[in-house]
Amino acid sequence: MQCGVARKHLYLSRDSRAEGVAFPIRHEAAQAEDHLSHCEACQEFLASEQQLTELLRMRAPRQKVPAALRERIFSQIARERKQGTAGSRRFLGLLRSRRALALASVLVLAVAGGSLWLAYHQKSAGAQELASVLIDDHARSVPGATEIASADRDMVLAWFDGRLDFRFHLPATSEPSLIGGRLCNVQGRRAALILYRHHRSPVSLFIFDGSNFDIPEDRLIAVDGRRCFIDANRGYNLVMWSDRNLIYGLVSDVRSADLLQLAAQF
Amino acid sequence: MHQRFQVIRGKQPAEGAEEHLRLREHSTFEDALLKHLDSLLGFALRLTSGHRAAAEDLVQETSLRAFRSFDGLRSPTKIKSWLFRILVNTRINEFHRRAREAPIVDIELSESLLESAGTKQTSTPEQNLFEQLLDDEIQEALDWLPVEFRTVVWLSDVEELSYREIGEVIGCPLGTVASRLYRGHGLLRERLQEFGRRRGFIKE
Repeated sequence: MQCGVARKHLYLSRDSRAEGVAFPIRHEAAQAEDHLSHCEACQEFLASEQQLTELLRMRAPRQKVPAALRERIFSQIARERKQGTAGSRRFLGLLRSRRALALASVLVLAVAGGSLWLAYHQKSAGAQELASVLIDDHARSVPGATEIASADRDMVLAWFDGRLDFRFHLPATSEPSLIGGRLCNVQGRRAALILYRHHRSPVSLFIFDGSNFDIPEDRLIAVDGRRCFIDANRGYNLVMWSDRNLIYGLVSDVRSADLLQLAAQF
Repeated sequence: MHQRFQVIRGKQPAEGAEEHLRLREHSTFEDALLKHLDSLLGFALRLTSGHRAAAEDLVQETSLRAFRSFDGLRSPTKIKSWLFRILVNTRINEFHRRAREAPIVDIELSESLLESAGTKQTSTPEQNLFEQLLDDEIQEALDWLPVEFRTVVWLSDVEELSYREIGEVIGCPLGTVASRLYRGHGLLRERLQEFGRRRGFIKE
């Protein structure tokens, strides 16, 4: 086999070999490997390519995203998330262009019915997604990781005072028992996370500003006069409700019926 | 009440969407983006030849576009190359709005091209040259490459994407990726040797 032919096969299979994937043309690949074992020039060729790769891998300029840029990106995403789904954003974007305005005026009546349908589904998807985020946060949080560790409800409430744009109330409960709380972030919104324990299970209560957020009516069930959204995922149960523009989400691995009883105290 | 709860819990995701949902549950878009944000900025800086403000704008625009189309991502495990693809497309759109750079001519990775490889030797072993180079010189040499070569060299050598993934990012067949990598390496080597000659640690 000529050096050029062998090198072509070896070069094309460079990353396949690194990934442990067999090169497709097995017969020629084997010949190329055989050639390589005898040819010093081809060994030098491949080694030289590898050296250059190593040089770049080790010393090419790496970057750390500055905090200001990260903040800018995530707050913009949070704003968009709050405003709605991609479909509605694209539609609003189109409306802003002058040419599309004329077209839009014709289409408005035609899509009005569809929009109502879409709005319902966005609400439904939004609530479901929020439920997943809360369950995920609870599952990942380290039990006992608090910024204010206290079983005293007034101390915990006092700690949150001034740290959030809203104020909230906590009832006196013996079960679940209060452990403390900390600040957290729920889909870009600053939130209070109150940590409880029920028997041996950690219980998280998320509280955050719920303006611009609706839970679809038909996903609500009445629990002791309060209308709640209920979900379960990966062994965790969630009860979520809204009260005076705030959303409360209670998450734990306790049985769903027990969690509903706990929720009824709030 | 309990019975109604069971009905809601009993809702199952559509078949085929399970894997997608499982991964979505474990990592929201923001988590996934955060993991690759540094890589995106590094790549954006190379695509903009080190222009920091342009690179940061590019990363921001890429992140928003990715957020808007995240639901359409079929395979969340491929998120890194998917983000790079959006970044490349965003850059191309912006770039074409302002000016059109003459594209390189792709040539096949041929036997004759490779036959003569490595014949232009200097008396200084390559390893010695590499050890004496400054980081700034490496960056300058990278940014000097035509953008098509720079893209492939960066994605392959620094980001360690496979030829197939790079092909998906830039929309090229695997052979073109390998050819651009090889030619990019050749040009890069020449440039680095030039730095060596200028600083007097390479003698012909």
